[in-house]
Amino acid sequence: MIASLPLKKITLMKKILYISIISFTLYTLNSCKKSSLDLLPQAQVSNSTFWTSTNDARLALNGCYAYLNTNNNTSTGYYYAYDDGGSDNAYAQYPWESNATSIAAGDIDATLDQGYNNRYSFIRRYNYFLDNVDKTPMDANLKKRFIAEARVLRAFTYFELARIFGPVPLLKNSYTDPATTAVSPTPQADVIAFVLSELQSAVTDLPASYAGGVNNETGRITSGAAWAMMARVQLHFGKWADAAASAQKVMGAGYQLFRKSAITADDMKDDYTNLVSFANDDDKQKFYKGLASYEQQFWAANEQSSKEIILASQNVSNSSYANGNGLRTLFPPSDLGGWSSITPTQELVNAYWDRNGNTFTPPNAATRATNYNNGTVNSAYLAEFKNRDTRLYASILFPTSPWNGFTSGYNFTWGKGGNNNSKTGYNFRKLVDPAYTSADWDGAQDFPIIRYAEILLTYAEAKNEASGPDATIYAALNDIRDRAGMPPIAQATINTQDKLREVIHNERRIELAAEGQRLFDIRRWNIASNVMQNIYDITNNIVQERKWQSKFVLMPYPQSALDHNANLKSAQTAKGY
Amino acid sequence: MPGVTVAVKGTTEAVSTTDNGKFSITAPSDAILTFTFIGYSSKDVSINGKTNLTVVLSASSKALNEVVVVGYGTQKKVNVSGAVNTVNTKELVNRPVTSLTNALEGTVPGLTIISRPGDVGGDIGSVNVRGRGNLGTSSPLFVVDGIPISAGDFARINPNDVESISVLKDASASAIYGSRAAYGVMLVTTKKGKEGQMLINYNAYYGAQKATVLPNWLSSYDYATLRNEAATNAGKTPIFSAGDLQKIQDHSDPDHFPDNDWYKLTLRKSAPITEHEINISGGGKTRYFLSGSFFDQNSLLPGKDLQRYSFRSNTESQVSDKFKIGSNVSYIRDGLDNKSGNVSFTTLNREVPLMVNKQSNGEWGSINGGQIDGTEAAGNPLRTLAEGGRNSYVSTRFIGSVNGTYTPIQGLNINGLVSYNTYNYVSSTFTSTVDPVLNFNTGAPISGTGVTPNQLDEAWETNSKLLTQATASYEKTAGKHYAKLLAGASYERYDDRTIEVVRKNFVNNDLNAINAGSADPLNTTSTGAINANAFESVFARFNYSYNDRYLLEASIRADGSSQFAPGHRWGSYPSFSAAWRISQEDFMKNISWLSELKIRGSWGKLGNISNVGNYDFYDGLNTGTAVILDESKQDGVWPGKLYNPTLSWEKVTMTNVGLDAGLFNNKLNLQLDVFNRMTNGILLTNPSLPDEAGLIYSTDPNVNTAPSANLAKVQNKGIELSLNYNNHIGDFKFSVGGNFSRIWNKVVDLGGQGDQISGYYVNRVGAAIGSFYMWQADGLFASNADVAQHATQSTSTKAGDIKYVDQNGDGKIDGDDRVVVGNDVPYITYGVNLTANYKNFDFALLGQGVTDVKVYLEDEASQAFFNGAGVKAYTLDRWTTANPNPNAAYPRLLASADNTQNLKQSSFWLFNADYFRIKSLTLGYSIPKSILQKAHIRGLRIYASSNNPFTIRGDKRLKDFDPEAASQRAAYPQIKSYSFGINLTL
Repeated sequence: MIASLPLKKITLMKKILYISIISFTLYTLNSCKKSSLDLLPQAQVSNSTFWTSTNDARLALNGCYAYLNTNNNTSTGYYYAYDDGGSDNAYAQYPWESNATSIAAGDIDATLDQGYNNRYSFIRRYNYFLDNVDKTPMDANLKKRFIAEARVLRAFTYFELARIFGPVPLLKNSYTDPATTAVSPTPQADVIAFVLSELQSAVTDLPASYAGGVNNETGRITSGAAWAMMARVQLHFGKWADAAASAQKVMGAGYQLFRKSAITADDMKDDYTNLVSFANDDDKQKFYKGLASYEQQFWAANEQSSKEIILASQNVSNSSYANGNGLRTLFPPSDLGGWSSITPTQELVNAYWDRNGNTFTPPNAATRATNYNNGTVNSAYLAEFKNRDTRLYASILFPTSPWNGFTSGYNFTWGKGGNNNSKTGYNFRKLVDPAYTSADWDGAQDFPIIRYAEILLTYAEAKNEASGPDATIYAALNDIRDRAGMPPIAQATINTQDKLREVIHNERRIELAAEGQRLFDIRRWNIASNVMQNIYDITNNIVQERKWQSKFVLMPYPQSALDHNANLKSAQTAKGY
Repeated sequence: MPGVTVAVKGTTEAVSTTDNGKFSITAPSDAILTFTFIGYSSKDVSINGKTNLTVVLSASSKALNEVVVVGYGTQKKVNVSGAVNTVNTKELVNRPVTSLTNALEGTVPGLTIISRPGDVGGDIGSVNVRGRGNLGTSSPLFVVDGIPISAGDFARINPNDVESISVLKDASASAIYGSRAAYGVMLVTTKKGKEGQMLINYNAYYGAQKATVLPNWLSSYDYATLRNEAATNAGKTPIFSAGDLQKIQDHSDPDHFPDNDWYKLTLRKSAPITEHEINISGGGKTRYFLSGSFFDQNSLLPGKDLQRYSFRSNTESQVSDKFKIGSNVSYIRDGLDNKSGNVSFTTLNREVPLMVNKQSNGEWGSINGGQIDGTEAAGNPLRTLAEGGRNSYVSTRFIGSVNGTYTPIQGLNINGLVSYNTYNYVSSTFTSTVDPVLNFNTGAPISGTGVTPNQLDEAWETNSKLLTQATASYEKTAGKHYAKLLAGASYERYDDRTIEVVRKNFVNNDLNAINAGSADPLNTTSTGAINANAFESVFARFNYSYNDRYLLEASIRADGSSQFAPGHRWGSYPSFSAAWRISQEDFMKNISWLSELKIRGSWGKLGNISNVGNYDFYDGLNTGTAVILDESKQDGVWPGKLYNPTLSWEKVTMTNVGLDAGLFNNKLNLQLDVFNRMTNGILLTNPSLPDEAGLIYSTDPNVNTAPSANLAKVQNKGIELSLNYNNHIGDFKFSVGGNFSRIWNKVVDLGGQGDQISGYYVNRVGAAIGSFYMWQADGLFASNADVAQHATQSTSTKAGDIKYVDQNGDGKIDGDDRVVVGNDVPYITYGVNLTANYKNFDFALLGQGVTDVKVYLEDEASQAFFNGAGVKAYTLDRWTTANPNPNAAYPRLLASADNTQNLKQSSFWLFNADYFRIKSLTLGYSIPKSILQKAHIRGLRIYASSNNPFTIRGDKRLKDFDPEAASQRAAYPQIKSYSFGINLTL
């Protein structure tokens, strides 16, 4: 009993208590050995303990592959669609979404960064991987393949840098020393020589396909992808014979255009009988099959079966913006919940062939405006959309065009002047998968970076430039046309190198519309000064004033790069900026 | 004298004197009685067997005995040789303010409080002492009852619990806190119980909050006509036909052409704010102070409510002659409950008056100016409020400490302290499935306007801080000499852990547990992080004074931190100060008007670590989802932050010279300080790294991979003045106070590099931190001829567009023409306060202002028709062909997509953010004691108070933003409030 304890004892106990409070603090202080300040991060791996297993190497290689993923890299994936907005194919109406608005307007200066810094952050990843992977204990063949995959990604990124900016600093090793000063740009030709030699030497270590599963995920770089990149690089820089040869390597690798074997009732949901005059039922079947084959190659449901995809930026659905295909939001009009961010120009609409595969002659702009009659269109207006290339119906929403796949009973009307509606009068439907309509920025359909149709077009163009028309060129082009339900090229009239060139250029424009090729095509064909003209809407009102200067062939280095690397200054001036 | 406490010394027996000053108390005949009364020196009188005692109390010389709380102790104010300001805590209480931080605005020179507007729970303000000294965070250290706490803990302290706040500003005052005191120390002492009878205080107020100012959007007809003008200016056809305009004007077709004021539709006109606080204190050998409070603040957004409960308990026990123990416990719980969907103010700013809220058929609006608009329909804030979902959070902050002091011999105190803080935060956000809006024309759902699937985000954060500290001090007076030595050591360990889980696809919108969502990997994500750091410190201070005239102080602290690599962890921080109380000298004795005159000087070094990440010295790799391969997410690893193992402390060297004076029997008090603070080795993203290194420069530490190095130097020179005058004219007592501070801030060195540009800010040698760097606007082009003569700006530039100054005269406007055009840091701040008492009435006013500050407002905040948004009233005074005024308030109207030339970053979009604001106004009435006594009530006061009632602003152009708001597109408005309250003492 406490009460019976002598007073002295209580005081003593209290004393012990107080002393213990003080001594506890002294004890904890004293126990602070050196180790108490040694705290390491729990979410980061140390470079010094990494690179110990196959899985480590695989993870680091996946870090490199992030280049293909739009969520991690706003210069690639479906963002390539913005590149069309910088060309005569499309209008990107929001200057804050991309540089395309300013590029098309001819407002190009160092305030724009057309993916310079972004791409170098991946160069850092590739170099880091290539500098370290060697020390990983793993299967030698797999390691060789991993290295080849990373080298191809690096080469592809350098190609894009050189294509956009011309001379760029060529860093081949990882950057670890903060004291190292800025590097001078390497001439464009030298960068490209490096790109080609890298692709050439990597291709032998790559398989033709991947079976899926750990270390063999589909979507990795194949030998076909490396050849296809080589073809693209060689074509861009006018190495015609090389480009044709590279394309041929791909053509012999088992790829083929996606074709629906049979059409279903769903494929015929949109009624075109008032727009297309079918000769007979076979003709109708051919049209709908071509329409379905062209449009549905971009749908998620066909990704596994299609042999057309050579390299893609893969997406998954239901991921809250991250990793979903954003074109569902960027392409459709406001009444389908879209933003009309990138919309087709009248010039692109005009480029689609007539149904016989011949050049279409559009009506005069003033007549069209009259016929459009502020949305209450007359029959003369519809004549413009009668009997055209199947790919027009598969790619573009024009006034009155149906899209039952997206919303049952839907017919496009142009909400002129309305918020998030098209400024040109047209919207894209190509590349949008109607299986994913409910959520913003969602869609599991992959965005094709390289597909077989491009290879056929590259082959046709390169071969025609190298040696003039021959049967293999017509065959390649007719494969593309036939897939779309279009008749073959009239070989009898299109019989010279020049005539064939014209057909190839236009075929390339419409087949690859909205896939990011046109921006560079008009530069390498040197036609930008002709085609970068003011654009007008259906009512013949101006949409955007466009200006062209020859220096726009190359983009300027962004201001921050100039601020941090004095060596870029003279190269910038040499480019005319 | 009434109300004097008479206590029997050494017992708990105590009484108060009555109205006429009489008292009676039962006490042993040899006892000693202690008489205490506020403002008077306490007096001990031996009874010596007498039964009648007459005692005369003398007014204490307040100036002489006033004690100031300093680091690890207290000091007599007259003996302080560093720059310390104390806050008049009377100015803090009874105001409907949302945080202690905001209540401090305008009270102390050199203390810059920024009360950014924010929604409930987010409007707690931020503090800076003596200007921004580095290129990142320069927040002071907060210490309450000897325990370092976070800025968030500080902000939530109930002002009624505060006994005193000392602001330690110079090196000498704060060097004892070493590495974290570079930007000052805010020392809070909470109220303790006083020996004597139990006192009960009850304080409560109830008030209404309103917006100080709301964006001034034009209504439908103006919107439509100006939109047409914008289209015409771009060479395009008008959007609205004459028929449309007619319908807009006569409001005849509200299903297609409504006239909505979205702020009015969305926000409540006023929202209540209320607080109840009760505290009980008293004691004998064990003294106690207990308080509890309840604070309830509703948001202007309907359905949203913040409730704060706080509890505090302080005890002190003199358990024996040599031992004293004490405890402090505080617990603060913030609970936000939002029954409505989350409305983004950017979205609200985007809704135009011609957008229908609800169609006549009862469906949500789908039509904007006659056209279907899926985007604004989806963003409809009223639909979001009604159907969007709900969110809530609960944060709890617990601080508990025990301390013991052992005094083995007089003058020697050995003190131990252990404290443990924990913070817990749990939030839950449910985003409901929402059906798509129906197309009013066709009845078909507009895809993309719905929300599916539904989703629940649950986040949890917990952190803790352990502090153990031991100090010993010894003081001795020998004749005219006085000396004190203090030494101590401490260890701190901070641990933080976060987890966030998301699941989608709940069966319905009513479930709240994460388990009710889909476990499919596509429908669930989880993230989490761990952060920890530790500190070891030893410190000492020596004070010496001679004859209360000559004062000397020296201190040193050494800190070691886990945030640096071994070998770079320790830093030591010495300081010295001296003061001379001239008024104590014999030759000053007969200058009667001068009561006190002291000059002070100090020099010292301090450190800063708040811009260093926990693991910046570490060579780490980042992990996460890298890519989709095999049509599924793939994990990846990639190089993270490029590390810098040589990273070390930012070091501050500070010199301070000050003067304290009391004139006319201390009726007029003056404190003047002049300082020079140089910060060396400021962390700077290494500017010698070219972009090609592939490092990502980002303010988000999870993204940023660019390493920092100790490179830059920033200088702050400043002057601070505070003046107070107290007097009375008969029954009319009054005080007038003012404070002023001016800081000259400049970047002295950037590691030998040139300008560091980040967005529209620049860090430039010779310029102040917070400098806006952009093109300088020189009015507008009067004519196309004017455009042609001027340097080339853009291919689209026409008459009526902004004219940018061609700084280098090269005939083109590019990056090289950017200049410093203003600053967003308030380097001149001032405050005034007035109090007056007449009989039972009291009045108080607190005002505060800043000068020479600009704010950059872009996008919807200032730019017409930005991405489909509306147009503000100030554009009515715009450039037109009919009014080609080069100094018009707004350039020619253009929709944003046609307007890249004017929307480039330029000084045109900078607005004057100077203001002088009455922060607080109070009028009170104390019920006369004669009435109260019958009800045994010691005191009762009723009052009316207002926060932010009046503002004088510098901006004369846009006029619809709050000058305390940040550079931003849209945000919750700043609040002014009116309240009534009572203070009751039992």
